[in-house]
Amino acid sequence: MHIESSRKKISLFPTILYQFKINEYLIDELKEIILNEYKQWGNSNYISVSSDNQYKREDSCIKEISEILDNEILAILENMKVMRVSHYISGMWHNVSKEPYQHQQHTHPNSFLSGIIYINCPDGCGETIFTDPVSERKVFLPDLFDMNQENSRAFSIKPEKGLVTIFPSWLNHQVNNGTMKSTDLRISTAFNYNLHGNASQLNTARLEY
Amino acid sequence: MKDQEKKIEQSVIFGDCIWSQDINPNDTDIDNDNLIDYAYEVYRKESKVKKSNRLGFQSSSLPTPSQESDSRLKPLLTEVVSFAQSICYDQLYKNAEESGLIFGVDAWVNINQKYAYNQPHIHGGNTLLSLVYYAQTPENCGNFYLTREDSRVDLISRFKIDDFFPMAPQIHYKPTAGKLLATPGWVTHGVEQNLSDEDRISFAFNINLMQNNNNEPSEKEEQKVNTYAY
Repeated sequence: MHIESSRKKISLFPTILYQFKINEYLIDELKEIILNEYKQWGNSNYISVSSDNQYKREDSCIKEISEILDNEILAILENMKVMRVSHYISGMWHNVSKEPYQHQQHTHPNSFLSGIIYINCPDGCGETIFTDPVSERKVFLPDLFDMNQENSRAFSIKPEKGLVTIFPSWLNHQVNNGTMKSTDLRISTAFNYNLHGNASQLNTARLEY
Repeated sequence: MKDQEKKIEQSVIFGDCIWSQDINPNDTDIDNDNLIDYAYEVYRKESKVKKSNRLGFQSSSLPTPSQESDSRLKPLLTEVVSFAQSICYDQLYKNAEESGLIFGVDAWVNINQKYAYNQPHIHGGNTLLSLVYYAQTPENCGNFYLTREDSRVDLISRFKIDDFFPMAPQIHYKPTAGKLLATPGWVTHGVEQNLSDEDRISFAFNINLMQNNNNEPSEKEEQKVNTYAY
């Protein structure tokens, strides 16, 4: 058989994650704020607590981190060619957990882009696991002799201090338990972004006016 | 306009189902104490598999044909098969017997200790029904939950919808010892972390439909899923 051209591979409808790192000094400042406050956030007997909304705080490091996020989101939205009047951070909260906490699979409703900043990541802390959004693939799931980014139905991110991962808010994700020491704390900050705009200009189903 | 003229009619479309049955110990030979003994015996003697279970024990497939299965499990197996046949023959495949459809059953034990949980998953292959029987369910041992696949449920999940309204994005069931539940194998489900100090013990079953004689599973497939026809 004669092939007239080389084999092509076309990736359709990709799910894209964006990553960058924030300077350690900002992360250390934020970590100090969180460690001073997290015991007031909930039941100290439980193995995980979360803060309430933090993005309007005046602390300099939170302000500075918010500005960094605003700029990165701007670049991502430009890259995605999303029409809008503006974008804005609609939520930011901190999570502190001990072993063997598991954060169930979830999405971030009523947001366009969401993200995680890893603040404190002891050895063995639970990875963030994103799962395949294409439910139709479950119709036929053959065993795989080797897994990679194209054929896997889950993708894990190993937490790393200062690493930021931004993802579409509809993408299911979870954190499984890890193998940290019982005294270790896994700390992360999560955030949501949304869009302002006119319905006639936007393709998204989730808008705030 | 009179009140009766304003009545809104509602029909559920494209729904999935959950079927349940309370096992009355007086009506069957199922003995929960015996089943709990059997579960711990399996835990001590049999190999553990890693599937959706995290921190907890899931056994490999148990012998399920009536003549080989453990006497403590046999009454439950009989009930499970009868329950599944009722669902299939009465509701899903009313001509199943004439079509030569037969059942395959795969069974295993789950013991979730404190903090153990099961990740969201489906039961793949040709699993028509997934069943679970709860043998031991201490308070706060982790709810069984089912999740919708439609991504647009995000649009409604921000607002509180009654948990059992058909459009709810996720439904939680509090497990109760002595209850048998069945769902279609394709519905995504999981188990929350067990926050009790006691073990949560359940027996799970996959019901596979096969065509009698013409399309029997190959020997290899049979070994893999430990499937036997009833």
